[in-house]
Amino acid sequence: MTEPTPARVVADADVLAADLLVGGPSRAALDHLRRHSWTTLVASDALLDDAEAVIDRLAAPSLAAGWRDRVDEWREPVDHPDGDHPGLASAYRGGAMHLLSFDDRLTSAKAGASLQGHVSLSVRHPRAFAALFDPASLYREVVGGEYPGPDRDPRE
Amino acid sequence: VTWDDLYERAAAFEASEDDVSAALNAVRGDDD
Repeated sequence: MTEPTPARVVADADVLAADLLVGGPSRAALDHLRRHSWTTLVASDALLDDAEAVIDRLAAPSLAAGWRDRVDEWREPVDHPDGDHPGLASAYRGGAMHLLSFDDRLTSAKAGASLQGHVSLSVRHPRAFAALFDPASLYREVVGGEYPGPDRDPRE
Repeated sequence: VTWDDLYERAAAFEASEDDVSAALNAVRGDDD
């Protein structure tokens, strides 16, 4: 288990696939992380397997394989037992305080209330995360000092 | 490979958030 911090984020497989295939809020949300090297995308192999399978189904195996190579370089891996929900388990085992998902079974107030009882985890649609992400305030909290601005090209 | 390269290749495929959600439900076996 890793100590939770708000700079550690899990994007469930739907958001990872939508970042690639749809763009919109998913890409905006993940661009915040790509722009800032002091944030961490946490993901288990099982989570990436699911996203890769979605990309394979909706696009092409070669695109899915290329995406997997790139995201493998970026994410911080985390292990969890087989059968656990890959998004939730990546978050609570990987010390993430944010889980991005389209799944209203996870983002509902009821699910949020029950999750909050166990872990410090906020489950949000990527649109909400993209709108509320405040890099200056987060930088002060997790790194300290004055926010220097983005330090990474989100398209590399 | 860069994200730019991947997005360029992905633009040839049209998908919506609903398509992605349905595909993930199928992958995880929880279509309900």
